Amino acid sequence: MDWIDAVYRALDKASKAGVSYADARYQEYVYEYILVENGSLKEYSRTVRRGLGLRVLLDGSIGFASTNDPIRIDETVQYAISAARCMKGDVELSSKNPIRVRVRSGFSINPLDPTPEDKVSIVLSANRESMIEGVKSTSTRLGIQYDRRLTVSTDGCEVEVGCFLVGLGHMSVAYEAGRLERVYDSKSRVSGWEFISSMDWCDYTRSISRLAIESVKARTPRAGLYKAIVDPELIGLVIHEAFGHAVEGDLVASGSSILAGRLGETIASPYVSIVDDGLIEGGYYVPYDDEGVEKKPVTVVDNGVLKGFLTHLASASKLKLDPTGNGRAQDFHSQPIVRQTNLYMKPGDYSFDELIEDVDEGIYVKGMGAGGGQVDPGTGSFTFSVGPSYMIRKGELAELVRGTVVSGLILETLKGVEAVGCDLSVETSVFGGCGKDGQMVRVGGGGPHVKIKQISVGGG
Amino acid sequence: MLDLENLVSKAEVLGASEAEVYFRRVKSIIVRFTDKLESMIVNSTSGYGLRVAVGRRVAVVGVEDVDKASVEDAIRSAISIAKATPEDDRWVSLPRSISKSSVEDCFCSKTASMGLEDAVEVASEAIQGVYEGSSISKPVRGGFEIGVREVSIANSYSRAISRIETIVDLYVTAKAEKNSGSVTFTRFKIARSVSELNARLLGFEAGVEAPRFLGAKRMEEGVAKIILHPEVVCSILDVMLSQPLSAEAVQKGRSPLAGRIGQSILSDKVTIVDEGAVGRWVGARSFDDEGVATRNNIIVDRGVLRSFVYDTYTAYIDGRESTGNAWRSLSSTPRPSPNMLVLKPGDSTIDEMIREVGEGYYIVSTIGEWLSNPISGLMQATVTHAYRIRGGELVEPVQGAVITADFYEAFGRNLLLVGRDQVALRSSVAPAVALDSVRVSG
Repeated sequence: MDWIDAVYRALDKASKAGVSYADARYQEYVYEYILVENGSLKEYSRTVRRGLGLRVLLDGSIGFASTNDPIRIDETVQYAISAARCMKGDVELSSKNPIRVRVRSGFSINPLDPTPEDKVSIVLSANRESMIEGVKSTSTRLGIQYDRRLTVSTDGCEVEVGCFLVGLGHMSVAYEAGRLERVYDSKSRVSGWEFISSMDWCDYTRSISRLAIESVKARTPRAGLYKAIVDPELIGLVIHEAFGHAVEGDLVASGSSILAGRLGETIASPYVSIVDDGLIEGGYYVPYDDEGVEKKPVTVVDNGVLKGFLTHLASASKLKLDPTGNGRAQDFHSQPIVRQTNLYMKPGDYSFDELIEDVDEGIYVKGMGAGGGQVDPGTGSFTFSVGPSYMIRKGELAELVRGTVVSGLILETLKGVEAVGCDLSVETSVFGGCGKDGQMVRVGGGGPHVKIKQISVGGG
Repeated sequence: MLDLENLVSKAEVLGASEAEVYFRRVKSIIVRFTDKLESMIVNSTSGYGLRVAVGRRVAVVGVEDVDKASVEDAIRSAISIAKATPEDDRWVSLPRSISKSSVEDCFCSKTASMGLEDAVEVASEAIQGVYEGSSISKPVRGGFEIGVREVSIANSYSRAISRIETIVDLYVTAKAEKNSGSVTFTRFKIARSVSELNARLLGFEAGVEAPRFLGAKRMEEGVAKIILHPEVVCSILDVMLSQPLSAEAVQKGRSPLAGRIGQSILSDKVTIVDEGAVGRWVGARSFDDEGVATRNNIIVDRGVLRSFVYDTYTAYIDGRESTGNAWRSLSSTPRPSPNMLVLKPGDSTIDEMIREVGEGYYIVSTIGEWLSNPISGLMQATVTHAYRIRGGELVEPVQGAVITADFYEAFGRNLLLVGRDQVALRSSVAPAVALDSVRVSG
């Protein structure tokens, strides 16, 4: 049976079984990955995945089942219904507009089309150029993703979204006097092959090697509390971890977010405005979510005031809010949960020089070489790693310091934003994403340079 | 499942000089809950990982598709990619023979035969347990998962072998609320069999523990003695040792342990065994992801580094045998990583450790320990739940600091005590430890 026929068959059978709502989601996914280490090709792999996930709402209970075998559709429908029947839930799903749309991210050259030789050649060159004196080990990787999803539902939605995401990442490990230090960075775009072919990746990987060499010679910053200038890459991570998870509607509705019940309250400094946008330049492409809801920009913080939460159909119903198009699933095996898309801080008025000029002693923390972060939304604690950064003394950048981790409490940190820069940069990644409940989805994030009154630096 | 040996032959006919077919089928039932049951998921998926060599040119293609034509397309795709890639001078061969070790307890038939209603009952018990733990606690998040995983593998040198495993995974987050303050606390348990899981007790423990952290104060900056809860130790061992112990990291100059075999790297109180053949651990299996029989491998013996972990590729480079540590996804090249790092227990109970430490902190849970740097040895974690220790007793809850130390010093000369009672997580097992001179900042 053709997969598209299988999707409609699943929906039809569920509908005839008396469910109050059902959605069926077909996913077709291709991921190509090339890894070159120390000048040699280590891996060229390709993943192909196709399958269907079916969700039903029956007497207030959600049942979900998935399969990658189209001849098992009837069995899958039965599993979803049986799953719902043995729960005793009181779930309601918010209603949504019956959208029928088919969209795909823009590209000039299909990134799956170039020959394997061409792809390998770019990664090999970029890797070999990075092997400069002082560097002990290097690895360079290329990722190409195509993700196509078709969501159909009993309320009349037929939403198909296709997205190409490409990128290159590199790590250099430098060695000096018995010490090793690594710096990793990557650049990804929702784009076709043209993004890969237009960049000077050799220059990029050499710059990472140079930073690793500088970093291994640098000291680790003294642990303690610092005034901080945070760069756009890192501010994206900070607000994603330190704030974004706490506005996810499922965590809010269950009471496991410290922001539950605080809509309308001032929770950040007046300089802070934060938006979740599925279509912002540089971010991941989420025009519609996996429940077939249009993803419109959501202002969650406006000049320091908590204005909104991110929702999917179930949390929107519980919180009596509109669905915001944030119901996203990792793949066809997973049911949609509330996820951020591209959460970013809106720019303000300050130039970088103005931000830094009155910092007597502080740290300019940078995202290049950072490795992600984590939050405990119930206690408000967050932590994230930073790449090689610079001390600030008497209003000027001083010496480079090694990467470390920083941490804080969500609301203290957001209230401590003293000024916001006028620049804006948003990025995503083909190599990673955000994990929650065992599901990983692509996200983006960013913002301007931001000055924060006090942040805890782990040191060493 | 398609006939793996036929697929190997097919690849050889199409031009592969060597071929390996890895098959995986996973069935799972997942119940999500808050203070009530939220949803149930039933998943079934299978797929093939195909590794082919054309001379010394190697490629891997993974396909989550059961259709024979799709799998054969994937074989053709793998061969065409392999032909287009440069030669790997270090490639010798796939494993020349594949076999199983006799690992018991990986599979529990009672667990595998659990139905949807059984899963609901376990989740309901966990919910009930939280309420029984405290009148001010309620469950806010949780999940219970039953998984059955089948793996089969065949290659150009050996006939197919198979294994089957079960896994159960329960977590429950309780929230305690009082006088406008609130805090959450999570307990979790991963095991092979539902018989090892007491869902009501786990919920109860989360319900009891959460209120204890209400009103937590900030930890003070400085250098302190700390005790790490076994779960925190597991996470730290995983992050700080898994990669450095991999022969791949050693060979590529990315391990601080390169060249240290036979040397003392940690305290003589530390013995670590990679127990890949102890079935009750969820990282154990009878053969690894390229068909090599697993075994129990001493990694650190009373502080002295004894071995790294190898797959076939890295073993050939060092002129030795694989240790049965290959891990892979369907589409990735197998790589060596520990199966189940087990830190052997000491003698101290947690109460004795608290008395012995006298002044310091008992770190119950952290986030971000995975942000530590295993290459430089810098160990860091952000504390979400901890107690201050004063006069040899737990006196008050604290939180909100980063703890930092050089891992090899912390588990070397600064290791004070190793606890008696072990806890198992997904890929490591450890007791509590007490460490001296850990930096606390925040």
